[in-house]
Formats: sequence, structure tokens, C-alpha cells
Amino acid sequence: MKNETAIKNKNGDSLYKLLNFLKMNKNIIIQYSSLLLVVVIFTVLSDGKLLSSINIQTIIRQLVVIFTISVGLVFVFSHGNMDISVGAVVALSSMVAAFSLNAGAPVWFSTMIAMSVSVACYLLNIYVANQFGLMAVISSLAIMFIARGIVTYIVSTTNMSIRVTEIAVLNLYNNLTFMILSIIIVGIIGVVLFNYKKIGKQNKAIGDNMLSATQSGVNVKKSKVISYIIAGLLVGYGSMFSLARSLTVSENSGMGLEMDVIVALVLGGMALSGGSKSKISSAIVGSITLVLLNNGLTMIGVPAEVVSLVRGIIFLLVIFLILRRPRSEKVVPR
Amino acid sequence: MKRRNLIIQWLGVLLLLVLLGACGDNGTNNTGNSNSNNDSGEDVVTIGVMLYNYTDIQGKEIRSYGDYLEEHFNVKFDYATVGSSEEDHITALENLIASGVDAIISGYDTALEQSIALSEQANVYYSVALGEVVEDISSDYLVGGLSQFGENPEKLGAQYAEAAVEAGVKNIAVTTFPEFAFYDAVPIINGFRERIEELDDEVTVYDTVTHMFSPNDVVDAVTSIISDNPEVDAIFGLGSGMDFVYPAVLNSTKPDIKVLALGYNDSTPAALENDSVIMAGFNNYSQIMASMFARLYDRLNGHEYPDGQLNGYIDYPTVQETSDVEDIQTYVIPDNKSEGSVTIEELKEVMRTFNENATWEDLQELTNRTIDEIKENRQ
Repeated sequence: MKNETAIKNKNGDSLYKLLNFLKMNKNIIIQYSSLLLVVVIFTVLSDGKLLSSINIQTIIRQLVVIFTISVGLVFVFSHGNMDISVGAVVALSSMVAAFSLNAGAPVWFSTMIAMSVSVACYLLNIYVANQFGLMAVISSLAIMFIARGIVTYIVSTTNMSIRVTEIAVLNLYNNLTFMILSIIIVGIIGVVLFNYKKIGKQNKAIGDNMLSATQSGVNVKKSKVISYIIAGLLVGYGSMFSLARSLTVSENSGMGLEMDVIVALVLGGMALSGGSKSKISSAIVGSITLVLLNNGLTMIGVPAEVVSLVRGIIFLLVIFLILRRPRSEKVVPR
Repeated sequence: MKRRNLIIQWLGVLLLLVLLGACGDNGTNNTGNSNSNNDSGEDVVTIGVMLYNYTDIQGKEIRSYGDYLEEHFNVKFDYATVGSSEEDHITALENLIASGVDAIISGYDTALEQSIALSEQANVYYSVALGEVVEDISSDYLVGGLSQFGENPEKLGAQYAEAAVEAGVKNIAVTTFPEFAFYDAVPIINGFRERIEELDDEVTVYDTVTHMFSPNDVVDAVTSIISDNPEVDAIFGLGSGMDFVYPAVLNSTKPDIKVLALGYNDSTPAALENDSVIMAGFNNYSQIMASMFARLYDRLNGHEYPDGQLNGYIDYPTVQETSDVEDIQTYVIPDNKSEGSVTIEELKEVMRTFNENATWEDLQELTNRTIDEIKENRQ
């Protein structure tokens, strides 16, 4: 009898713990469930083609650019800032890297150059925003015009598009193992910096309430500069993958990437207002979801004229699942 | 708490990777020719088409001719919308290849080298429909491109010159996209200038103004032409003449400037009627699709023209009168494609799959016919 009661108590205790665990981690579970839902739906609708070995390779190749860049930009978006210069910065960084590679520089050196150009753009962005008290999105607009303008001008001065003449130099960035390793390492660095280091906590505090953060001893300007440097480094690194994928730079390079990043982060559950709800997992889950969504729609043969509509509906469904704030959830005052 | 969140997050990612990995090997390896069996001739081949959109006249006509081909051949077209960036182009191509297409008709030569490399890896044939392949790329899977302006683009320039002289304009400015994006512009402009010189030495043709790809770039170019040379009375607009140059002129300080347009849209008939457009031109999308399809379908069925070349060519019909517009609607963009520029019967005659004596020149002759030649053939 005692044993039965003990077992019942133990079972009840386990159930309580499980329910409590589910409640505590509701948002994360919903986040990953949405991704899993996208995988399951497209796998079923594509008769398993979505998970064929060649398509998984395709997905990884497409993922590496958006993943790397999204992880970097979480540090910017968590302030409640938005960056719309990323496409143009990728184009400029890729172009400089292409020139460097064509001049005979080794790939590691060209990567450093691409990252330096990107960091310079992001530093200029935050310098202008900090110095003139502008919203960062406005200064990113200026950076976008400047970077795109430089690329367009240089492209227009040549009769042929700018391309990497020696394809083999970018073999590293086209290597699938390197891509997977890169995704994992960038992910881990992102998680550690954002979740366990001061910079991540400061970013969330700034996003929640800049004044409170300042009064709590956060050096807002310094935190923002560090975040923009991290974003710049990862955008520059991502631009190397982008260059390796196309081997060409034109005035259209990186076009629309800023919107892809925003969509990826929102799909991953990122609150665009930033703050304590910002999660690095938004970049991870969101970029995978976005790539799967685009790939899956082609795999299941959705007619071209309704792709945008279908994408919009799925986007709405996923963000409804992820971003819907439970009524019981307490909101941090701003 | 934080550590637990981290563990959950990474368990989630790990679960997904394991799931993807586990299912990966069980999937179909769609590396081209997945649907086709060239021996039986019964299986359907799938051709992926990549265009910026399917809502303008170009997209609609290409699709419509694709539907016509699907009715009469064992072929299925998968249409993909691509963005203008290289990354978007490669992504769309990768997705089509992964979906199992056997061949690709790309509208553009974006990231050509890498596109062909990807196609070659997947044993998928690749072609460029709306332009020539000028890059020095060698691959068994590169089927080739297509010149949109006939065998000799200079002749087209000469036609525009004749129309300009006939209309009596004396000061002509020339606008176009940059050379790297529009290779044919140079011979067309050269042909135009040479013919003008031959016909009327009182006509001045100003230096070519190059602009980029947005309507605003064209507005800037037109504004600059008018302010630098107020005497200009006509503009030969090669960079989307009807879509960009014509509206820019209408909204300028000199809306009476006449336009010689490379391009056509719904406002062309009215513009010809009120003499604001001297001549407009039209890509023959039926000829484009017929030419590309014939080459790809033959390749997929193991046939190749012995005298084949990298780039084919098609006719570029022009319109000067409203009666020309009727001809365009009857022969170039008819609702019933079996009455259009290239019918199935005509096409089969020049395809090696159906006629072992067919030659490359036969195909070029068929897909380069002028409207007058098509009319004559129909009678």
C-alpha cells in the first residue's frame, strides 16, 4: 500500500515537473515546433524530396549566408534597432574581396579585408547614429546608399561584370564540411556572446529601456559599438560565402538580403522592438525556417504566381504561433 | 535556468540535424534526368524556367508558349521566380535542380559560370533565353544562348535609322543600359549611326548616354539630355524604350520629343497613333521558347545538331503603324499559339528528335522569320 502511494506520488511529481518544464519553456518549444512543422509539412507534400541528400546539401549551402548574417544582426536588432544596409554592405565587401582575390591575395587575407570593409560600414553607421542622435535605421539607410552607390559606380565603369577569375581560390567557402562547421561555430559563438557575456545582457537591457540601462551603469554607446562590430564581422564573413556561391559581383549583389534577414528573424520569434525577449535562437531557427520555406515551395511545385501568397500565409501562421504573447505573460515595462 | 535553455535550444537543433541526416540518405537523389527515360520516349522531361516575373508580357507569353508545348510534347515546365541578385539566382537554380528538373531555361546570364558548374554537377542542361552567352565557358551541359535581335543587330539599328529619317527628326539622342548588361546595344547603335549618315547628313546623333536599370535612372538620363541639348527632337531609347524612356519623356519639360523605342507595351498602339513614338520593337517570345526548347529537348533525347552553335538568333519585329500592331497580335502574341510564329508541326520539322535530317540552320531559319515571312507561309 505504501509502495503504491509512493509510486503515485512519484508519478504525480514527474507529471508536475514535466508540465512545469513545458510551461517554463513554452516559447522555445513553440519556436522549434514551428520549424519542425514546416519540415514535416514540406516533407509530406514533397514526397520526401525535401529530405533527400542532394536537397539537404542545397539547404545547407543556402543556409550558411543567411545564418551567419542573421546571427550577427541579432546583436543590432536586440537594441530595437533595425539595419537595412546589410545587402549593400555584402555587395561592397564581396566586391573588395573579389578584387583582392584577383590581385593574388590569399583567401584568408581577402576574408579579413571583406570583414574590415563590413566592420567599417557598421562603425560608420553607429558613429553617425550616436553622434547625431539619429535612429540607427536612418543611418543604415545612408550606409546602404553609399555602399550600393560605390558598387554601382565601379560596376558601371567596366564592360564586364566583376568576377573572381580563379574559381579554385574560393573552394574552401564552397566546401560543405566547412559550411557545416562554420554554421556550428558561428552559432556557438553567437549563443555564448549573447546569452553568457555582458554584451548580450547589455543589449537586451538597452532594447528594453535605454534610460534604465544607462542608470544601471551600462555604457550604451560602447555596447552599441561592440554590437555593430560583431554584426560587421559576421556580415563580412557571410559575404565571402555569398561571393563563393555566385563568383560574381554586380550592382544587384545582395539586393533584398535586408528583407530576408528581417523575415528570418521574425520567423524565428525575434521581437523587432528588441529587449529581453530577443533570442539568439531566433537567428538559428528563423534562418533555417526561411530557407526551408523557399526551398520547400519549389520542391512541392507551387505555381510561381502564387508563391508570394503562399509564403505570406505561411509567414503569418508561423509568426502567429511564435510571436503570440500569452495573456498570462508579464511584460517588462518600457 | 540559462544553462537549461541553452541545452534545450541545442537539443532542438541537434534533433533537427539528426532528423535531416537520418532522412537524407533515404531520399531520392534528384540529380537530373530523374523523370526521363530517353529510350522509351514516353516519360516526361521537366524543364525549369527562371524569370524575374510572370506578370508582364514577357513572362505571360513565355508561359503561354510553354503551355502550348506541354500539350504536344512529353514535357513539363516548372516556373520559378528569381530575384535580381546573384545569390537569389543561384538559390532558385539550386532549388529547381533539387526538385529534379532535367534542364533549365534561364532568362538571364546572371552568375553564369557558377550556374553552369551547378548544372554540370547535377547533369542538368542549362540555357540562356534572353541573351547571348558571351563568356568563355566550356561545358557539355551549356546549351547556349540566343541573340534577340536577329543574326545581324546592326540591321535592326539601320531599320530604326530609316524610321527616324522618314519621320523627319534632326537631333537624336541615344540612351541605353551599360554595355556589360546589354552587349547588343553597341552593334545596334553602330548600325543606326551608319545608316543615318548614309541617309541624311543633316541629322545629328549625339553621344550615347548610358544609364542603370531603374526608371529613375532613365528619368535622370532624359533630364540631362534635355538640359545639355535642348534642340533634341528624338530619343533612341534602347534601355526599356517603352517602359522607361517613353514615360520619362512624357513627364519631362519637353514631352513633344519623339521616341524610337526598343521595347513594347500596352501604351504602344496609342503612342504610335499620336506620333509620339516613331518605332517600337518587340521580342518574339514564341520564337525564343521554340528555339530554346528544341535545343534542350533534342539534347535530353540524345540528339544534337551536327552544325550547332553556341548562340542562336531570333527575329525582332518592329512596329511603325497601328496595322503593324495588329500583325503583332495575330502572329507574335496570339491567344492561340497554333496560329503564331512557330507551330508544333513547324517546330518538329526542325528538331533532330523528330527529323534526323534537321539542321541548325533549319532551326534558325524557322525561329528568325519576320512577320511578313510568317504571313506568307500561312497563306
